[in-house]
Amino acid sequence: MTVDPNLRETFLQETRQHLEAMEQELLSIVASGHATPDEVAVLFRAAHSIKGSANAFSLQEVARVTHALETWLDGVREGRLVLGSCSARILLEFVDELGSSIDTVEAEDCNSLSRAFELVAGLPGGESDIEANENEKVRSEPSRRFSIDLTFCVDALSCGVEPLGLLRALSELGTVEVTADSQRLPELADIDTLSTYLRFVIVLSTDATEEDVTSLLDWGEAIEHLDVREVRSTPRKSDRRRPSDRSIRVATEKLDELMALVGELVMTQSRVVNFGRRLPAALEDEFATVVSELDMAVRQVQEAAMQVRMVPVAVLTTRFPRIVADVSHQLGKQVRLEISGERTEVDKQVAEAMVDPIQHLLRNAIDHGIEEPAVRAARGKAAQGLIAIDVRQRDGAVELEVHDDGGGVDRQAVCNKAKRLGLVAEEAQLGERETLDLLFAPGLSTARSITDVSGRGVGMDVVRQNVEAMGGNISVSSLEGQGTTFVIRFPLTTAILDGQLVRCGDSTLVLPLASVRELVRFDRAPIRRLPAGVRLLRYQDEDIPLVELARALELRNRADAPRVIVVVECKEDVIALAVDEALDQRQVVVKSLVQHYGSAEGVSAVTVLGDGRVAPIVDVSGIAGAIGARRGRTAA
Amino acid sequence: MHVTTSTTRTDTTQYIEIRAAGGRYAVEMNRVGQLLRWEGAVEIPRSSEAVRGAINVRGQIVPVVELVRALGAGAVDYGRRGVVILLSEGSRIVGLLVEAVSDVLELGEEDERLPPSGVVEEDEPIAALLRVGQDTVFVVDVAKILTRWLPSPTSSGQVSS
Repeated sequence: MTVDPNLRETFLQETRQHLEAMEQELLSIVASGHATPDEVAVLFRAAHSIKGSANAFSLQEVARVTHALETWLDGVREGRLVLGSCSARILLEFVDELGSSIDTVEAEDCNSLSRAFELVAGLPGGESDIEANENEKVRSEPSRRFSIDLTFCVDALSCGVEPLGLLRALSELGTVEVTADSQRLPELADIDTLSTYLRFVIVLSTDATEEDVTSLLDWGEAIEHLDVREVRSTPRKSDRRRPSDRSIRVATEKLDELMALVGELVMTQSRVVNFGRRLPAALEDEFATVVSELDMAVRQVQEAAMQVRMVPVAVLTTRFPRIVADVSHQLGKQVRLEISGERTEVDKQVAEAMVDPIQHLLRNAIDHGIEEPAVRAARGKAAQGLIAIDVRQRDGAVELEVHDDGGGVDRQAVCNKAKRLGLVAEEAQLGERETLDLLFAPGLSTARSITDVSGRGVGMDVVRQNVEAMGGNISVSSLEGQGTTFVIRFPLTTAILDGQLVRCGDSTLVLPLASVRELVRFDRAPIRRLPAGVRLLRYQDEDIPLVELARALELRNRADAPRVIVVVECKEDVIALAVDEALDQRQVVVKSLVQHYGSAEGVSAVTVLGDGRVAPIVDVSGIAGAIGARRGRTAA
Repeated sequence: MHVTTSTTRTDTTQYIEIRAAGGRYAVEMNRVGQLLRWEGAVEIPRSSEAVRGAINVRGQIVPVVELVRALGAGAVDYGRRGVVILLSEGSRIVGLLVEAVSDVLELGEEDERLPPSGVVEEDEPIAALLRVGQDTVFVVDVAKILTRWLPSPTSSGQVSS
């Protein structure tokens, strides 16, 4: 029978969601070594739902195979069978198998599901007690780790809460690593000794439960912000409410259309404002009120529409624990995965483009980076290797770091291989950077044997190509014996950026806030004039080059007279940019200028301001580079 | 049977006629997306002088090229009277700033010819000449405007102006 394509799509989406739910549970079973009744219940429910809808769509084979699974899970539920990490792995494979075959499976076609049938049939009738006991041991060993983000109210002390005491109480639960964030600290003169300004980021290793930790810290109004998260290699239960559970899927064209309509709304609104200027004075006040309400509403609609495109990186990182679990199991290595910065928001397109490169880096890290447990022991490292993924926004880009604490890159081996392959001349003397760069050369792989996982020599060069195709770049650093770190930077072509708005002549420009260090008043700044029009600003005991931003960008509509200096930094360069006026700081949506115009020097992208006008986003590194080059020329 | 009417002839091309720099110019109607009122544009740093800036068209950032400058003529003060014609060229969109749009022309193939050498200079963005009564109308070469005045979408080089 043929199924209505719409209904079919619904069935597929539902099934995928059920399979995702199963995968989450299975991963946590693999990690803990045994299944809790709750986890079994979720698995059972998911299998049951899939069976039900498969029947409704006359997909008998899908219904049959999930029925077989349901029967087995029923055995687990009744305590006749044991679901441990072994069976969980088989079931993970089953989930994959079913997931990849439901797209193509037709009512009468049973071949595509034969593997899934085999897997269910192959589930052990009951796992040995030995495994269960071993798992019991493993389970009692590791303690939990919590990441706590804690900000006290400024007047916490007057509420009767003593931050230090609280931290001390926390340290009684286990070992505590505290980092204080002093961003809110005011100028020295403005500090009130009875106020609390610090934000604390605490990593707590403890046997206590999350409830214990939260209840200890729950001081009501004295706490401005509190976020307690368990750091684990597999996502914890409450994290599993992923967007797919509470969200709907929307085609990107619909989002684009929405954005377009919002744009039109903004333009029309600015027309209304202009029109209002012609109204008689008697109506002015009333009109102004209406317009400001309209303005606010339009702005909110615009922001909301823009936010729709943004997704937290978590939507892609959730699949990584699975990869790490699979690959490390396959290679007989023990690996813990830590992911931070999951809440960093990126445009969905950027997020999607990041998946493949990261997957590849993860596989590489486990295969080439992390050593066998025995080797690690001999080197005095913990048997379990660590892979840490960190995502952050920096200098107008998404920066993604994949770090492993493995053996690092064997530079000699890389060098030898490259010479054998003829990638570099036999007699070449390579520096550290040049050697590491060879990792991205086609055909180079230093794996001693060819494995399933990596080592076919295609890979890093493809990763680099993919990253560069997105306009990003990838770099690597490595310490022999201590590990390797890859950093991928993606431009925020469509992401949101915190910006400092400045004015030069008629132009409003955006400087990425991440690179802005300080704003200085021009008339009070210690400026030195050198011959040939070069100006230097004395800043933190150093002379840094001072240029007019309008001049650096070669704007035709020149600035009136600079009144503000923005000190910006980019990598090692610190430069001072003179502008007419510093406007507000706000989040702006980054839009591509390349699509219809092409790439512009000194401008990384543009944004659209509230009134519909375009504002270029300044490419600080480009300007810094150009000034550096110019300086080099004048010095020479 | 061949019916000839003013609107449904199949062998004709429609053009929008433009007044610029005292001359008559035209663009093909099927390239025209929309006409917008000129409300100014934000200067794109280091752009060539014919590029008046970028505007936001329903979320897309579109460069605006001033026709008279692209033709090598002097500056015009548009005030609030200019018109931006959105033109498509492949997947790109460019806005053409002109003083006014005057008419819709409908002409047959026999009225269109390639510019004879010497009449149009090589880098002038003129694709063809149209005979309209006793007069000649110049068809604007959108592709040439893009390659001459805008940077290429892939390279990061600066435009020469």
